[in-house]
Amino acid sequence: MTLLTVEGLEASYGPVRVLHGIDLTVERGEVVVLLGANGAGKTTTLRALCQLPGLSTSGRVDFDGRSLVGCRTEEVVRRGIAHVPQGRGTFPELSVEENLDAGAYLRRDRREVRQDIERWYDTFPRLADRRHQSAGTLSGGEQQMLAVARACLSRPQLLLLDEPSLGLAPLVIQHLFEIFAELNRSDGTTILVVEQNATLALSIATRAYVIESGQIVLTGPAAELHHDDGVRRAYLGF
Amino acid sequence: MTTRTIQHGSTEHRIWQVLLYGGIAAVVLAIALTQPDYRMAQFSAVAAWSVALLGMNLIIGYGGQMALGHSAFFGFGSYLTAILYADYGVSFVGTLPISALAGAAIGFLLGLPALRISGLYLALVTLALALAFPAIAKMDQLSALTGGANGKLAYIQWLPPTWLPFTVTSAAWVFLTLSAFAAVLFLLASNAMRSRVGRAVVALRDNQIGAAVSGVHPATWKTSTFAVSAAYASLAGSLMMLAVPIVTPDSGGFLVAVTLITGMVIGGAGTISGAVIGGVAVVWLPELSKHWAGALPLVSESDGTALSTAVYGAVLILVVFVMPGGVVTFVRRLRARFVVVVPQVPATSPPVAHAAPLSPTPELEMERP
Amino acid sequence: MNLLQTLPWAVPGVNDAFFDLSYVLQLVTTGLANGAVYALMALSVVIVYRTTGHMNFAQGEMGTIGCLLVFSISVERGVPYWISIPAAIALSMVVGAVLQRTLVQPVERRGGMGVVLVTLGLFLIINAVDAVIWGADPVTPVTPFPSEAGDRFIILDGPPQFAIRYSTIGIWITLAVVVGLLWLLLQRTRLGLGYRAVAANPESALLVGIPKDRMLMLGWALAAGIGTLAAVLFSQKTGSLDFNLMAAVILYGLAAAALGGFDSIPGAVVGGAVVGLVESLVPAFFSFIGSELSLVMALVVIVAVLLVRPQGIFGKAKVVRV
Ligand SMILES: Nc1ncnc2c1ncn2[C@@H]1O[C@H](COP(=O)(O)OP(=O)(O)OP(=O)(O)O)[C@@H](O)[C@H]1O
Ligand SMILES: [Mg+2]
Repeated sequence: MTLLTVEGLEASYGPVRVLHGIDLTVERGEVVVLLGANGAGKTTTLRALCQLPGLSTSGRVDFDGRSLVGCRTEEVVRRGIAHVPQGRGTFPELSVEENLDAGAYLRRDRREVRQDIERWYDTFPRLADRRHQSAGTLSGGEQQMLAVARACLSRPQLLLLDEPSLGLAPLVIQHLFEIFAELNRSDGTTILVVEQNATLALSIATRAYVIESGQIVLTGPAAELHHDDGVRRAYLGF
Repeated sequence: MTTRTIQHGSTEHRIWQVLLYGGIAAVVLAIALTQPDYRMAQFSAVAAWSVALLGMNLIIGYGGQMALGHSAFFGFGSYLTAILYADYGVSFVGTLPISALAGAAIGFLLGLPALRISGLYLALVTLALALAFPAIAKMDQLSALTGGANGKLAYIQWLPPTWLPFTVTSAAWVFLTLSAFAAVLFLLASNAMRSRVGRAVVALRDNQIGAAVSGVHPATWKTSTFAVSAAYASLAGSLMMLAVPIVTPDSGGFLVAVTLITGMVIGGAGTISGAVIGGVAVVWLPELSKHWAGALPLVSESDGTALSTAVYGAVLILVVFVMPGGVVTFVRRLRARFVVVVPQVPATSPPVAHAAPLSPTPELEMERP
Repeated sequence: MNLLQTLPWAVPGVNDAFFDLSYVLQLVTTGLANGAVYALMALSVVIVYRTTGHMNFAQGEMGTIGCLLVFSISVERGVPYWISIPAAIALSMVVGAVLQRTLVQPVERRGGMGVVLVTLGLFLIINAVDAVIWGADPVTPVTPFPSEAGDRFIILDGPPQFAIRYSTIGIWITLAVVVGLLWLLLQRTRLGLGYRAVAANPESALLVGIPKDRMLMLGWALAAGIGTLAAVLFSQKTGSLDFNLMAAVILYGLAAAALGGFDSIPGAVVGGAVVGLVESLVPAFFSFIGSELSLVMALVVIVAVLLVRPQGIFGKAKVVRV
């Protein structure tokens, strides 16, 4: 069943058109990777899905059977999309705990939120040790963990991840991707991930899209793309 | 409708320019010969205000610095001319270079902090300067010079010379004189903004690091722009003494500061000609608004004065909403439908001369602190 | 004869009166009372600045109109202050939120100088509306606290004599209550978490579903409420009230906010106290500085802080690691 349908999505920053008609779909329960060179428009695509201000968009974006176009970002989040922005985007002046609380801003079930937060502390014990420390003092990897945990605290149906591996040590990346796979498997969270580490991303993905200059140029099952010569040369580096 | 393309510097362009300048001169002369004296005083004030607005345009529109307290320089210039003329026997014209230099010097000293304070902080400091100006002018230690809270009177003798081919009243002669001074200052500013100097200033506004890399020294340029704009405001204050023979502490105060800002925004920040339109607005907005207010029922005479303040505020907000580039940008957009003036393609001039096209800030875009 | 006066400290330009203990204590009290009002103004400035990065130059005028409203309800119609002041505060908050929504937000999106211009325009409009409705002449000040000559605590029954007015203590308590409530709101409620998240990272705040626009409105509402309270207290403190009540106070508030680094609540309080003390002590100390120069002192404080220590007295360097 289709969770997200994007058709002819165009987006511009002021006069600068960046996306020229993106078409993609994400089925419920899938992990989909978005690959592309620097500046291809991957981040912009995710931002446009969330209807972030500063970006004028047109085209069709349906989520869970209803259009997202023209919604406020808070409404998009309420409908079940969580977004881990590129460069983490934590609240540096707030404590780790407050960051997590903010992630559950729209939820009213305080008790379950507490339980969820404790579960994430179990997943990332480093965060538990630093729960009263301000997020700005965390290391890059810790901030990425915090950003992921914070996004998941809204209990999203669709998780948008923008280069979660950016600047992290290989072991930490491995750990994060195991957690993504686990989220997808046990909680049934659908994931759309933008990633430069294509090998890793394709290894947990079901399908992949390749974006170039604001347009989708290639799509297919992850395994197929993994063996596609063009993709290998352009994005996998072997 | 077809748009017409005119090359900058071509004969056709020259003809249009001569017609424009000639037209302006003719209008000025016609005003001088036909208008009654009380009107003449208002037209004289327009000339003086527009010089101050030009100064603000240089630093705000072209320089991109939110320097909002130019009333302080304006008031300073008025006081300087009044004091020098009345107490020290300096001729009116003699006070002008002193006013310009002193304004520039103070502007330079205050401009030094502009290097560290930019954006909103500069707005805060300059507005605070305008708020504090009346208190400084009223200081006991200065009251022998400034006349304290009562202000300073200086009736400047300015009679039409005998060599004039036509006869005008002395008020009209004041108007013609101020128009001539204003014209010279406008031409200076306009040429400077088209020259390398102007490009450097705009380049700095648009991209500080880029400009620094290409050899524009930010500190020097910012401070100098601030100094020049202060000199213009100070000169404007001096010129105003010819039109209005009294300067009071409030002449440099907050209300005048906001008046100037309103005038600048109405005309259009970063446009030379916007300064004249702003000057017209500054002089006639209060009168018009009192007139409108008088038409309202239940509004007394004194309320009319307060309401004219409100009209300033309302117009300021209105312009920000509906015409963020001011009248000039609006007219230019309109004109662009009919005529396009393209820059001449230079055959020999060095590349730097046309590297950065001169662009005013149509939407008042500025960095946040 | 005061012992201190016999000391050979007679510095030229320094007032002898400065060595009179009861006079000094009085100056400090006055400074701290005005300082509390400046602190409230600074809080208004900070609350708006933290989320929006803007300064509302009309903040003082918004307070003045609130205070004049209290005058009309309580002084003119005899309604008790405990009704009129909360009502005026509530009304100011609504108006603040509406102004933010209608006039500021649309301009804010475009960035640049627009918001400064809009708040300056508001300054002029509100100032003029005050003058039209309540006239240009002073009216009876509002006095929520007892304000007769005898309404004071005697602390030192002279000489040197020292007493503190009830109203001064009332101002301090009000400031403490406002700070306490603000702290509770920001640190202990969901709304406060949302506000702080927007201040810390507006885009991420949107991405966790915090309605940023509403948080900005909340900031303006809080600031407007506190501004009205500040105006009421200032009217009581100075025993004056007219349409220009807060025209200068906004500058002291901005100076206090600058001292606090523009984004710190404790900084605003301490900044207010410093500005108040400077204003009352410096002219008394140096006879060549008249008290009419307090505006100039505020200007000097602002410039000095921005030049020497732009992050304010508490100077918390931004805690960001990449
Ligand atoms: N705020 C902005 N204003 C104007 N242009 C922008 C803005 N943000 C991005 N762009 C432009 O949009 C294009 C796409 O940017 P985007 O961030 O979507 O790329 P990306 O695919 O995520 O690249 P990367 O892999 O480097 O993160 C780029 O050319 C970029 O310069
Ligand atoms: Mg990106």
